[in-house]
Amino acid sequence: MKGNNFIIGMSLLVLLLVSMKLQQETFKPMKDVAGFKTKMTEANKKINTLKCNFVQEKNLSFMAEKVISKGNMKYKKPDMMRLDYVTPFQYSMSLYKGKVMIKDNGKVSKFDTKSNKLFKYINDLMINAVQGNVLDNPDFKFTYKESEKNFLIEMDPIQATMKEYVSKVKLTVSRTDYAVTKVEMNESSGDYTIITFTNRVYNTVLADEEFVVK
Amino acid sequence: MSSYKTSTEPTSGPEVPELYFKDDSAHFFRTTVNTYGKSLSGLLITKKVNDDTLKVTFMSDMGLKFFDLEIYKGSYQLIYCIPQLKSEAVMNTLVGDMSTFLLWPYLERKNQVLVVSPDKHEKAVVRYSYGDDFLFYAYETNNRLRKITYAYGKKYKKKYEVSYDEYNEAIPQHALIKHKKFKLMIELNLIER
Repeated sequence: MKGNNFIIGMSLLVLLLVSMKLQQETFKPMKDVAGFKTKMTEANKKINTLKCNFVQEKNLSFMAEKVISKGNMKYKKPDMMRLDYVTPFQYSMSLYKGKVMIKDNGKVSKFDTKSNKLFKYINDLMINAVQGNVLDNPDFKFTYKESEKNFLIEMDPIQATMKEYVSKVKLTVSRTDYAVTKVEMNESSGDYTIITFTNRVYNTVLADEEFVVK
Repeated sequence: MSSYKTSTEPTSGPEVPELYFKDDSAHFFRTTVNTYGKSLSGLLITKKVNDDTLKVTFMSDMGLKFFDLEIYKGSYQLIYCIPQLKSEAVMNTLVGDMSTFLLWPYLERKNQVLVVSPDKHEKAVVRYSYGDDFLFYAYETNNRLRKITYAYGKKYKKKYEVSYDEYNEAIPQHALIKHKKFKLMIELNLIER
């Protein structure tokens, strides 16, 4: 099924068999930006729910190894999302009707996103990135690129306050079904986070109660 | 804490243990900071870079950083911080809390005195001078560190306490930092990797 927002994660780096050297996918300026936007918007409209796995890599300059977390994600239009981390710790976070619910070590906490602007900012950024619903976001300057396999949307924050959190966001979009397969968030320090989505299943029935953390 | 009398016998207590930094590996804590109805939750990563530098980074579960600190001995450098936490008072508090929790000698601990606690669970309590203030280290049997109290003034008024529990192979899996003068509580759960 052609999807929109979320597509199976595709690897950006190709491993060279002879030299075992990682080679980065080459992106060039996109030729038909208007056509891309139209197709991505159309594909986005068809997605009502999504279930998938995710791998989150956090790259910190003082750490020799990446901090890798894995888990499962559920999404229901327009604004419900649930992340269940499985490794290296078990932890659940859900956005449900304006509230953030967290289950950590057996304890459930609830926060109102209206009273916690930082949570709201992070959550909105994540939901919009996962949705692919970012093309008309006035807070960013967009650069569109493409390779043989994927599209790349580079988002540079315009406001100084936005830049405090991220220096750049990169969305990798599959040519196959115009869905976001990877989200990369870069910080001015050079540290960055990459979240890759795999095993995506679209438009299954997801009850609202599945987004309630208990 | 003013009721804690100086011990006449014995006169010395356990040394401050190295709970988390026996090697130079990084340590990960699921951490929740609660203050006046607001909360931040995520992953706290600490690493002893060398004998003079402690790295402390706190980030959301989705990877966005809340703050990034380098703590030395007697000073610190704020590498990065979100606007909501960017104040000298907040950072000084967090640096103090993290240093105490991680047993990092931000200031030199001096003048060790063994005191007697009225709490029967505290088998040994050692008081140190710490700058102009004091640190009380309370140990259970087997010299397990149970609690650290930061106190000030002639009557040793409590500023905050760090309590440790759920020990596994001599390492506490859970810790709680609780301030007495204002509403700030930090809960930390060690993640085994």
